[in-house]
Amino acid sequence: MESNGIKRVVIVGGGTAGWLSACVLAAARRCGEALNITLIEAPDIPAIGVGEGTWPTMRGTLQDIGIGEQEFLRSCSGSFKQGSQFNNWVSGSAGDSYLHPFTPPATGDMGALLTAWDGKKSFAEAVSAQATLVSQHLSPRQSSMPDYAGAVNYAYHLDAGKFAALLARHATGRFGVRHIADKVTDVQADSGMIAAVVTAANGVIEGDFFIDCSGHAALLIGTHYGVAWMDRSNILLNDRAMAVQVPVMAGSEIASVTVATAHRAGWIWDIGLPERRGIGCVYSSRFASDDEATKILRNYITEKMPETDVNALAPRRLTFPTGHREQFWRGNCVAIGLSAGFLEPLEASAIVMIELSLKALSANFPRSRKSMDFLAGRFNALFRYRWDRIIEFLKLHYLLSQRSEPYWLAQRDPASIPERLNALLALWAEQPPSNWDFPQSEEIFPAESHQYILYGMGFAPPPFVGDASAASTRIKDISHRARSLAAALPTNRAVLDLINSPQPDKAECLA
Amino acid sequence: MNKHVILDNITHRDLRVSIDAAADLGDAVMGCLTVPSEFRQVQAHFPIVFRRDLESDNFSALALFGFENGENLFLEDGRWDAGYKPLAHDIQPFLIGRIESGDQIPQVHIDMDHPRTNGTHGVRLFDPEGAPTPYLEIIAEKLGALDTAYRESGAFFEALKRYDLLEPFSLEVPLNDGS
Repeated sequence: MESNGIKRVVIVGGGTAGWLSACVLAAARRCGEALNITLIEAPDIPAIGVGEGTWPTMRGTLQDIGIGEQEFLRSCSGSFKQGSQFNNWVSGSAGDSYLHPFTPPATGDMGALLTAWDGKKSFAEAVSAQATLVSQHLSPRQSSMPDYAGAVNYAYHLDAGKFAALLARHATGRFGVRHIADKVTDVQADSGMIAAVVTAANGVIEGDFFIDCSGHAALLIGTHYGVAWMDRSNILLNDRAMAVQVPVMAGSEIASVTVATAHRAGWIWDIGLPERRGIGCVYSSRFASDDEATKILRNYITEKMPETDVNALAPRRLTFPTGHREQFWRGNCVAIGLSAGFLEPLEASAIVMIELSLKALSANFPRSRKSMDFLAGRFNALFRYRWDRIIEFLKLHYLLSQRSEPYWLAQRDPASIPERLNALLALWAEQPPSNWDFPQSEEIFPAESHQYILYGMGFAPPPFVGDASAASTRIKDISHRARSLAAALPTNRAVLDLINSPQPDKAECLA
Repeated sequence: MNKHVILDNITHRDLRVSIDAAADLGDAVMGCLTVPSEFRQVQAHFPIVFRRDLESDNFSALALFGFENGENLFLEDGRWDAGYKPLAHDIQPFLIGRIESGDQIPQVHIDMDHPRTNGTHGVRLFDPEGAPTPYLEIIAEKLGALDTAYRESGAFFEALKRYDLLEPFSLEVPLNDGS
């Protein structure tokens, strides 16, 4: 082996980002040359616990690292997520609601489909069977289906603390990842490359490649390398959240979607797990005080969960930056997770960005330092593209609102709108969003996602010349499929209660 | 005593019927009634035997799934291992009901004591608004087909008798264990 071969990987930081990095890199290298992976986690840093919604990619990721679906759901108090529902975003009046489901619209020409859509049903309901399932709190899969298979596309809601713990057990148990509970106090570098990190109690930990999962602290990419932070709060205005967890009654329905309800100075997330709902009020401190945000949060909980004693709840305040690093890979160090960047959790982009970073890294893991600069350049260009696309996609949710409170007017201030997004909106008045607008093979938010937001929020479909009769048939097919699926699929509650039922009962059922 | 009731979209709005194949769902049977209209599909998978009722001297036809009571060789690992399921078995736990004195429009009844009717995992019969689901529509079609075919089968069996086309037999099956 050459002296500059890359064999020892050191991950600084645990959490979802750190432990997922350990698992994915270890699993990817299982068949080939084994990497020697060490994860250093400061023992006293509490998890942020906001990233509690995943993208459907998580099913493939879990399968790749060898965790069974039932074990995952049981260990993480998980539930199924079939998309996001946006309430009160357009006008704020009664019945203002639209859906962004994970299953793409019926295939074929979107212009024809829009013409065939008569507007009696919502766009999502007309073009995707998933909307019907979501409205009835139905599971995306039958219990008898093989792991990670579904009748419709789905992801998960989960308890982030429990998820990190599961990944940690898996990484150390299955893959032999070395876990050091210690604080990183210093970095030793040599000609632009990190040679080792220094820990408080475990001395110098050498490595050939480093992954910075140290969260907002960004110990390697920020403190050591000094890679600049690009603030994007001029585009996305929210900077705080009040978060709380509310226990639910046994047997209550579990929502199939993340519900995002707009309020006068931001929005509220509502994520249903089998035993609790995670609810948080996201807001801009320029437009609402902490006390006002707490009041908005309490009012929401009182309305949605009247059995709750809201005064007994103690919401936790989170402040967050909006932005990302100028580069994500510098020298022999890649930043993954919050150290790379953070955006409000409106479309659950945090965990999927971790997965995509790991996918890109493990598929192109440098064997030596010779290829490193090229790989770093390519990685940086790709992820800069991805952060830009997410920011524009999130901004789109605000642009199409008609709400008139000062916060909402500020979100629509022309000076805050990215140039490319403005150009696309002009284009979409003439043709629907297409793959020409989102040409990457793994767009986080492809044209279909943009279609759901645009036509969910009432954006006028472009004029269409041609025959839409085939599209009418496709819409009828969707409606029939929705009826069949809705009849056959069990509720989320029924499926998850079965998975979470005590083991002895389960054995009895199977016998 | 079976609990047969008329299906309606209020009492049974949220009822789910299990459609899995399993012994404890009533699939552990050695055969079921079959009707001439489905003989073509049935004979491709199952032996058809005719049974003479000694009192009435009438014939009926059965599709055989096994060789002794409770044996179903087409039930494998929670799966129905044949390309067809005879109507009379397929429609369970539903039945055809008629109001004795009323008109002749048959109604869909359901056996509420059937093991297929007491789970949370199964197919709904009605959607939340009370409209029949595609599953119930298909069941109603099958019930209708079975009812019509059953009533027409008398003429078929008459013809078999008239032309003396059936002869008695006893079935001997050598098993793998030599018995």
